[in-house]
Amino acid sequence: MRRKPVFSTLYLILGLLLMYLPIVIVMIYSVNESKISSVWDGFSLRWYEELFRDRAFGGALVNSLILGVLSSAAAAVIGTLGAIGTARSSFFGKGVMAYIATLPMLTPEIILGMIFLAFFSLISLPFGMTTLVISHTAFCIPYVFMQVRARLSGMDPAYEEAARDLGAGRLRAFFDITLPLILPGIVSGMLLSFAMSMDDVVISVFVTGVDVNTLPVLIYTQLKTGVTPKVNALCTLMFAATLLLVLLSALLGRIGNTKKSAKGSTK
Amino acid sequence: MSETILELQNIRKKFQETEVLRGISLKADAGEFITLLGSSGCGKTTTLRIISGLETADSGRVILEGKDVTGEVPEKRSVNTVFQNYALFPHMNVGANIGYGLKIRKRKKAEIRQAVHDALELVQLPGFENRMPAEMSGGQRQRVAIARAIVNEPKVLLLDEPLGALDLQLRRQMQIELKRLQKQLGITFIYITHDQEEALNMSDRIAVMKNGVFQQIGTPSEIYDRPKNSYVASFVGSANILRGQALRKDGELWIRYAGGVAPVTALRAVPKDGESVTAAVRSEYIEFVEEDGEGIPARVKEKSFAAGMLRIALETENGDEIIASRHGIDFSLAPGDRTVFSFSREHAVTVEDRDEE
Amino acid sequence: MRNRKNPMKLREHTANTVMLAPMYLFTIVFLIGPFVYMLVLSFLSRAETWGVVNEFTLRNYRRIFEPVYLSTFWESVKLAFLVTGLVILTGYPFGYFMAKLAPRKRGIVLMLVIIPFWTSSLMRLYGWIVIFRANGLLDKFLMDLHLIREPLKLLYTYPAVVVGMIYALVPFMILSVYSSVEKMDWTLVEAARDLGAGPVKAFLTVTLRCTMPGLMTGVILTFVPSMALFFIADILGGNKIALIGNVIQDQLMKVHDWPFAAALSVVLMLMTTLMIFLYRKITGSRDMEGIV
Repeated sequence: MRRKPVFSTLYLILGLLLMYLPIVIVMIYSVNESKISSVWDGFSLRWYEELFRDRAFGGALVNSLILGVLSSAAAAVIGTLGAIGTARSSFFGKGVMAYIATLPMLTPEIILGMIFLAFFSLISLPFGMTTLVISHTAFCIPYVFMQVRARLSGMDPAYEEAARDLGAGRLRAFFDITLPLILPGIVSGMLLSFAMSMDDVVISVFVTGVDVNTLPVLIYTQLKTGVTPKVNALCTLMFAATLLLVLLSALLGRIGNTKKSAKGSTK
Repeated sequence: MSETILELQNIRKKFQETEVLRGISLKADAGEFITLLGSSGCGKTTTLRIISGLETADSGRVILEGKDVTGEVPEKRSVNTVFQNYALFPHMNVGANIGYGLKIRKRKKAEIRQAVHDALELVQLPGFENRMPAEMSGGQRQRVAIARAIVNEPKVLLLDEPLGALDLQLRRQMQIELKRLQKQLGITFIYITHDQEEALNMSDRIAVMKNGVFQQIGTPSEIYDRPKNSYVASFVGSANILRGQALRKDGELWIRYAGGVAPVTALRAVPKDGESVTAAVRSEYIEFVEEDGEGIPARVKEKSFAAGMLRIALETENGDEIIASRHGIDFSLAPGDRTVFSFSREHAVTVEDRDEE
Repeated sequence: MRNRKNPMKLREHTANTVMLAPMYLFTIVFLIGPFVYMLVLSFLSRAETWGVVNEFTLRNYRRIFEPVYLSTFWESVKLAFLVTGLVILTGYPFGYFMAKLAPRKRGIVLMLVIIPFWTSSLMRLYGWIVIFRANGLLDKFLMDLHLIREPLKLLYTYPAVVVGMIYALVPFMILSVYSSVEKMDWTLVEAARDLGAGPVKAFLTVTLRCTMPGLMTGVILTFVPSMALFFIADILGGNKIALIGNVIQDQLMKVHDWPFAAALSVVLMLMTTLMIFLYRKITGSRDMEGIV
């Protein structure tokens, strides 16, 4: 029995190493002076400088951020309300609705891209930020919906009843009890949505307009045509941003906890 | 003591097609401890939820302090509940949980702090303000749930099987403590349990419930000694039910049962000679008489020993099972032996053989 | 006798309807609508140069049976099965071992898994290009070790695509297996051991079965995308490996034959739905066998 953890630890370490290998390589080459990626010509921040001078990247970054924030926020509102409504209603079609709500997760991305492309040109919606936000919101809703629904289904209805019993109105009970208890679900669903939106290539390729480029679409085009080491620098920066986001969400969770106990200790 | 604080008038409630409550009425006085006793599914929890407003009655009225609150939302009723699984808010510490009701009522912070402190003293958990519910034992959570309810000074406190999740020893201790608390606070308690011992120990009055109807409402001794029907007699104190014919002899009432005769007391209407009659006798009052003495013949089926009592199962000639119990383990008869049993007149009472509908 | 049940229920009902409205509206307009349009489109004809003519035809579906497209479908399904199988083999142990770590370590490893998962998949793909490229890192490394003499030139080959897909999809498997292993009641395993099951037997009969929901979620989240992740095949496979996703993309963006792309999508959609349905059926029946 004692030998087992050795194997599992090795397995985990090896797995993690493999996971980070491509990322580390990209990071290393982002500070490589040489233009050819398999040659090491010494340390240089040249590619970062070139990246910052490139206006196309800047524009794409801003677009991706706007898109990520708007679509994850919209998905958070729609998905959360939908999950609460589904959990409470005795409406006969709620099983069907729950299935349809998760449909985007069970559909290959290319089909989503195809149907959005066809549908938006049918209703002659101009391709650009609007179409991007709509389609990203559509594939982000399931992440929030499922996270919140899981939270709700694990929640004892007696909590809200107890609040009502202690004098809270329906709305007050929701904001004091239900919302804080499902908040971790909303936040994690929203962060996941943001990451998914920032990462999406397939759907964006189809629904983006000529004048609106997102970061992943730009990188994709570059990878297909010809790569300049600027992409290394860009990817490294994106990785740093992701790292920051993950750490931030972990930290937020911790602050939330300490705040609670601090609030208690003033009592 | 006679001021009516809560009144239920002919409450009915249906869930889909099943009628859970079929017209129940109850009056509770200020400071009274009333227990709703019944097995699961008898409608006792629904009754409690209708009083608290978490459920609405289909018909009938709920009157609280002389005011009709039938259609009132739960937050507007001066009633608080101790939930079965406590329902302590997991994201709030003990202090915030207990202070929640007062915070809603917009009391001042200092006032809330004091009230929370006092409530915790009262339930013997002083200084527990900053604990989280997850960090506490079942018994401690139970106390916090009680504190959270009583801190609001409700007119009526509803307790839904509050001791159900605790082990036997803790349950006994909490019974005493709850009773003390109720005396001290003078709040009316409506208490739900399926444990007849708990009900008999704590209550001023017990309402025995079955199929959405109160079978009998009365003090513990009334319920125990003068059960109204065979259900009450067998559920409270697990009495033997004897179904036989009335026999009038020398102006006294007897029961003719399973090929024998035994004396009974008529609690209510005295049955005529030959009329069918049902009697309830508790196991500890079953006595064994000489083989040829007057009584009811039976055969010893089995003997077992439980909770300091010897339990003897007898089989009568008509195939009924009669349970007798004795202190100690010494009992000369062995399984298979024939015997005759009887009981003294004051320990056998006539009961109705049908449930209240 | 007053009875205010209905107004109260009505208020609650209204609140629910208001909460559900955005999701219903959004889903119907921007999800059901497009899906229905795709179905309609697949029966329409293509205009001479660009666009769609409202003329009913079954030609689009007939075309799918041409050998070129049939073999593409077959290749896609084969690849999806291969990738899913390999993802299970690599991801399940990882999720399992991770869930069995001490809480502190578990948190760290979980974070380490989530970070690349949230990192741009293109960045991670790009790293693989550098590794797989002819005379790239992998070739050099292996040649330095004298394991190979000639460069493997793995980039733009089938194995490169498989590795890229596993790499992109394995986090889904790890995270869903992890969450169901973490929830497991380990006393069940102890009970199985106590009843005489060996560690392997206990794993197969208890652990695997208890974690089946997580495994199933992981399989669906792996299998469905792997049928159509055209950009991985594009980048790591060059133009040599054409998946059904690549064909759809070409029809949409290059050939501009939208009705045919719609017909391909409908068939792909049916196939993935069927796979999900079959998978549920199969695991369901296995569960029954386990009970007997």
